[in-house]
Amino acid sequence: MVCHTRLNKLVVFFALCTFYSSLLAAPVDFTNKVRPILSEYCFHCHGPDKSTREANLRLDLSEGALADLGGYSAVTPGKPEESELVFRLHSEDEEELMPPPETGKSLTKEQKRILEEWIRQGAEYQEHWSFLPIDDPQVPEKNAKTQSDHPVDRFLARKLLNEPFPFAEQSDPVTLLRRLYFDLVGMPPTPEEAKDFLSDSSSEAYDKLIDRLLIDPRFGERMAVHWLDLVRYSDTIGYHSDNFMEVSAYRDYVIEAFNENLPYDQFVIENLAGDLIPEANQKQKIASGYNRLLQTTQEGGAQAAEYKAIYQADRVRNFGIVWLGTTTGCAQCHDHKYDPFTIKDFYSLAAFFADLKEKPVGRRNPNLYLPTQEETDKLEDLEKTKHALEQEAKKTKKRLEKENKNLLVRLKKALTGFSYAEPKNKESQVNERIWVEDSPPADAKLFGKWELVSHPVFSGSKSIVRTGKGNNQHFFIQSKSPHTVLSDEDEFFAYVYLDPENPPRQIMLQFNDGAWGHRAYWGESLIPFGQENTVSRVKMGSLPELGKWVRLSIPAQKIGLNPKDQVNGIAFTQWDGTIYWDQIGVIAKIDPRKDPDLSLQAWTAQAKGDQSLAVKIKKAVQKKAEDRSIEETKLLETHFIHYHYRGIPQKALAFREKLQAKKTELAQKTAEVEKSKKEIENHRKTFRSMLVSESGNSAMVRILPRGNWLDETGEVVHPAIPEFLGKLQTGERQANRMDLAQWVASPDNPLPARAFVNRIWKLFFGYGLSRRMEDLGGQGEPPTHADLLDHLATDFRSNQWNIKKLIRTLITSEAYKQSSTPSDKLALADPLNRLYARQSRFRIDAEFVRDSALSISGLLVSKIGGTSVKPYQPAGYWEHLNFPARKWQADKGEDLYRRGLYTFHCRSFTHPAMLAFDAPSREECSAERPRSNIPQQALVLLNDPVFVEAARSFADNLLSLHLDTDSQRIDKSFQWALTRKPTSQEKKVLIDLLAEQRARYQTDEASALALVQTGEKPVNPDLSVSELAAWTNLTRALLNLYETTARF
Amino acid sequence: MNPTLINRRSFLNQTTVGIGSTALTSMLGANALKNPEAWPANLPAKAKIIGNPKAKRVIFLCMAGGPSHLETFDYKPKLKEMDGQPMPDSFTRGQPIAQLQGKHLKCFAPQLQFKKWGKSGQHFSTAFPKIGEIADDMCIIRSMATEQINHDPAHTYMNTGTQISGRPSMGSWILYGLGAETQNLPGFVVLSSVGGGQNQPIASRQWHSGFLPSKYQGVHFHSKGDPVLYLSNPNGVTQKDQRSVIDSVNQLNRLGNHTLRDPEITTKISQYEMAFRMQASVPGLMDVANEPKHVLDMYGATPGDGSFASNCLLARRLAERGVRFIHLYHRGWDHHGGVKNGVEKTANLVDQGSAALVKDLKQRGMLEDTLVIWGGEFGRTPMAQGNGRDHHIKGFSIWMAGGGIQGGTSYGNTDDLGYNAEEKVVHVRDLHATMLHQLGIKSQRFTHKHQGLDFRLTGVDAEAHVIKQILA
Repeated sequence: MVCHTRLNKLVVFFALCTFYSSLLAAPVDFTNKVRPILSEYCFHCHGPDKSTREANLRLDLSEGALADLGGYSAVTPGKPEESELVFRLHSEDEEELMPPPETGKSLTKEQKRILEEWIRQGAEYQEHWSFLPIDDPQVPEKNAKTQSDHPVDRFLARKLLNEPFPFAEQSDPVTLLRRLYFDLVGMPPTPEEAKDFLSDSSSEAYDKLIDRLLIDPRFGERMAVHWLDLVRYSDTIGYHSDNFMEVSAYRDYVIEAFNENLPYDQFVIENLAGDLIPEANQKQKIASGYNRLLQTTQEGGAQAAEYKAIYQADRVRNFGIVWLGTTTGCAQCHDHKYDPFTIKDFYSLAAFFADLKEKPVGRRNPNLYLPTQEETDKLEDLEKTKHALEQEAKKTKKRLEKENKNLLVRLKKALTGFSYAEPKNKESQVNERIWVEDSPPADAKLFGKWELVSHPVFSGSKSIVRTGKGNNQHFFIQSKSPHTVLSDEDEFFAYVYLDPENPPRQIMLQFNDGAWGHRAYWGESLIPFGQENTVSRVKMGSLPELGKWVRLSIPAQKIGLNPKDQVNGIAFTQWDGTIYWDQIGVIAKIDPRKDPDLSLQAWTAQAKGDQSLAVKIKKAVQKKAEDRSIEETKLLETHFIHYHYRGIPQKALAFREKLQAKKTELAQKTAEVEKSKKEIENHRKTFRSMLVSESGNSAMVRILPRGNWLDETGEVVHPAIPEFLGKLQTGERQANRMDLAQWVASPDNPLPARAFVNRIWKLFFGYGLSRRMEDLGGQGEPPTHADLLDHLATDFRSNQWNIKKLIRTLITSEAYKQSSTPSDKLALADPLNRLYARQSRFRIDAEFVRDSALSISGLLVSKIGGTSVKPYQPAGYWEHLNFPARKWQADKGEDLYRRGLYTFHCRSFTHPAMLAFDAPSREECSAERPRSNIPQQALVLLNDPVFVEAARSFADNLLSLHLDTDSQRIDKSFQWALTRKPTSQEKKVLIDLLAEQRARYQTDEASALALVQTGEKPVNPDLSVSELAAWTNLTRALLNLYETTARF
Repeated sequence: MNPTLINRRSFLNQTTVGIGSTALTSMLGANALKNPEAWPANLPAKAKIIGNPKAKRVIFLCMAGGPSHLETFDYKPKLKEMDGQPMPDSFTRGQPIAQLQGKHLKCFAPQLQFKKWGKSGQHFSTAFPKIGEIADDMCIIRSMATEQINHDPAHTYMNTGTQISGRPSMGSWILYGLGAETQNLPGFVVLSSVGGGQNQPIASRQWHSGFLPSKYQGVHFHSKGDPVLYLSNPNGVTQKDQRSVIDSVNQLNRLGNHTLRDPEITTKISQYEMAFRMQASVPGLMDVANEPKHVLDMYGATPGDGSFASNCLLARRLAERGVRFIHLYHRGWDHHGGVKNGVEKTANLVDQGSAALVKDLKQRGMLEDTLVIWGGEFGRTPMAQGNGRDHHIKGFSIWMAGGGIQGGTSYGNTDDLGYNAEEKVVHVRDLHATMLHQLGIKSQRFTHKHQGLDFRLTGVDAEAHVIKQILA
């Protein structure tokens, strides 16, 4: 059998290996040494995912490794030479070798030895570290490496004990001060702030500094930058057209939460389920906006079902990393290959979010408004006005109803004995219809300004006036009573009066029959509409006489309007000048049988769509003649005679007109109410708003096999936490987001505290204790100091999730205060600083690069919160955005100088200066920014106008001081930018630069002026322009220094 | 290993590098590739991903919006016969559809004439008279298939191999794997033009480096304003002034580094030099006015017009200067209506430039090691949408030239109605695998670890196949 030959080979092999194994007598650490190897090389095919499991073997569980494979097993505890796994690692047969050669993966000798030794020692499995309950490890005793009582130092010292180097020296006060400022508030100290600390020689100086910084409102802003990356906060929706969405209130909530030291468990609940808190306050609702921050689409043609699937997966991925510190994304398509997350777990988590009310495709309307006090006051005023108008309308209605009743009685009386007969012959008669008289048409949509004046007037009481330059117009369209062209003899007319003081050069009337294709004009040919010599542009003659009313008449036929065409709008267009318009209408020869004012049949036919009719009449109108009851037929006839038929006696006509006038009066009142409502609506639209969670009926969630949204065969799942992490005790009740939030914040869940503490540690020590910030799971890295992480996590929870307290613990350790410069020995032995025998050093984040320059130069506006702002951005950077196409319009004034976290964040085109310094696009969760060092960063610091303006302002401030020498000014400049004095060599570099630049700009004032005029801030008129320019290039050099943008 | 190097690596690249020495090479950047002639022989022998490279660089001409394969490279007489008749339900049942959801689906005949081009008799639209002249250099693939039916996700899919945001674009992957051959320019450059149809937006995520370090990000060269963002000196600052400022910065950084001994500062100094070189070289690169008239005429380019033709000429200039991946977008192929005039119009805007680029590379001896790829993010439906066509993902056409691809050939087919790619289907990941293969990279082994997974351009799950039959 195969097994025999294997055994033989192995025996020989192990004879050779005995020597090595004796070197590994120490117990092999499963979590740190063995599992990472198995995970990296084996789990893909022999792990938790059953769909891709090969040979029915799983190595992530002890049962699998020891299972009988037919007389042998993958792992035989204590006996590597009998373990198939070991054989496979060494096989020379490509068919047998593991991992298979085509994967391109192979184990190093050291890794193979570790696995063998682990098997020799009994092949014990441990559950993955991060899924185990957090224990409370005892703080180690002091040892030779530290005298500190601080637990952080004790834990670090324990690991350092066997290493050949000590902790680094304490940092000098300036470095330490700058480190604290960058870490806690995201910018360097001002000279005054520096003095407060540096001149305080008391032993409490350091603690006092921490006290000051932890209550500094800039602290919340600094922490928010980190948090907003995690939750992928942005001002745009992300996909396709990437339109604006207003969610900045969430950013402000985060700032405030950190500043007010909101306990983390409370923060968790408010984010995931703030809307479900009974009587949730505004802040809590805003917090629940967390669930709405994801990327969404408004793309036409996008399928709702597909995007529902995309969003649910996005939410689960983000939930996993943000709140549990583990990746779940793999389980979207299949069981996780490395962790015990199953595909069912993935969709069961998705089901928690299935209650969120949301439009999958299209614009998502705000569901929380956040007016300022001023806006609220104005709203109240508007509401009052509306109320008054409503009351008035109500009163008017009551009065008119009474009067109408009376008038109707008199109308009826006047009609006594009158009988109606349907017209029989087609004898035409001329009918004139006035469309515009004294007011714009009430039943059409109006565009442009319709300004009414009382002089000059042709008829009635008002005319319409327009004054304009070049091409300008007003018009109405979509009239509810369009004119249907009856015959070739129809003729439109309008009266005009051209101002002799300011005559137009051309006037034009345009007629809309569904499109604007019929135009008549007088005068020159300037208005760019239509095509000459077609009905779309017919010249009727020269301009009419100035200074008097002239009737313009336009035969319908001449401009291509044929019988049955329906004209629903007219545009009054002019080039230059002032024009008065009055009495606009149409005359048409009419066949009485087709005239709704003369024929009951004709009226009934066209009244079918009239929604304003009383219910009974409407019903009757819509029936066929033969289906109407006798009462209905009579009802229609009476209504027609009362309100429409033109053939009634003169006396009755007079009553009808009065009735009509009352109707118009009421309509006007109603219109005023409508207008007031509209005004309120428009006012509301200007409020700051927010997309928050709103719970509705839970949609059904199915497992999507392979993540395919078209596949409807998957099992239906209900909200549940991952099975291997337990079960929510909700009894019969279906679990909801609140249950999920409470589970995250519960002591039973080991992940959230570990994940949060690990991330906070990174902010203050440069790396996480577990290095992969987004994954504490099997494919992450076990912590370098698991006991320390657990100690801090325990502490954090027992201190009621107090974030500031946690931070204070970290930064009061001796380890935090160490120098970040490694000795050569240390640099060689621990390049990745896994021992923390020194501090870490790194370039500060994109936002803080900006903040620092603004702060050093005195430009910074320290206003907290508000809607996002638009500082300078290169023109054309948004040229590829569309639907709609848009331009970045930079703000004015103080909004140009706000902190980086307030800069409008566009997902598809993130501000290029931010992008250059590794700010993420926030399309997905980003738990860790890369820290690149690329030429674009140099271009930004050298040439972005805000950095040039900052340099100029910096120079302005230096020159405005009463200092005597360049040397003194350079001292000051170093103090502001770097919180220290320059060395003599450094000073010489700047003195030389200054001399050169001074000479250059003294002979080139124009260039000097061009340089110092960069940016919106006015140039200080008291300074010499060439001097300011020369100093600006000096301060540019300072703002470009690595030391200015790095934390040491 | 030199400790400084490791330390620098840890700073540059916080996420673990999965491809070992290759990524290290790219981090060393052009240093390891100082002599392009020696490429790739001077790559470390350990770099397992290196196979047998035929191409040194890629020029991807992205026809954004989704060109109709039925009016360009895939002639379907059967569709003509069935013009106006209902699309057989067997094709469309259960299929993802974009704007035609819930509409009556009717066949729509090909709207343009086709003819045979070149000695090889490649059959494609008369809308491409100039591309017709390079027919014998082209390999047309008529059996492409993708998985995303809307523009934005479809581009993301074509560029990164997945619809999920935050993954590196193919240009970034390739730059990461191979580094660039230029000290003065970014190794991955993007150019764009518009015209001929609805210009759908393009997000910068399409050239983002995702979870790879930012230095592998594509740099978008603009045709208006600064070609590279923040490239110009501030007003009133000459190149000499800028040099003085940079010299002072570098001197001060060096002085500071005596005590700090921070490798990041050393890198910083070299990045300022690189920035300065970019400032000096990019304007010259972008100024095509100094090209001979016959070259400008061949492309049909007017200097500074921002046209596709000008971008093709720039692509050649970038290729000459050692840029690894050059990605052109022409936004103008989204013909939901008026597909006949639309395709003619857009084709007219890209025809001459595309052909001139291939001819020009050829006459300079560069076509053999430059892989040119021409195609959109998807195709269009055989069904009418008015007189246009909707998005379609089950079958469409692209073409390739140079870089070890067999010219004068075609590969794969769609069914009689041009709906499904049914013969020798080429999935996007197969296209990626083939492209990487030509660059000497085995896609299966070209990975980067992120969020606990070994990511590949060709995806983590399904297998990608090199299309061996089209290789020269």
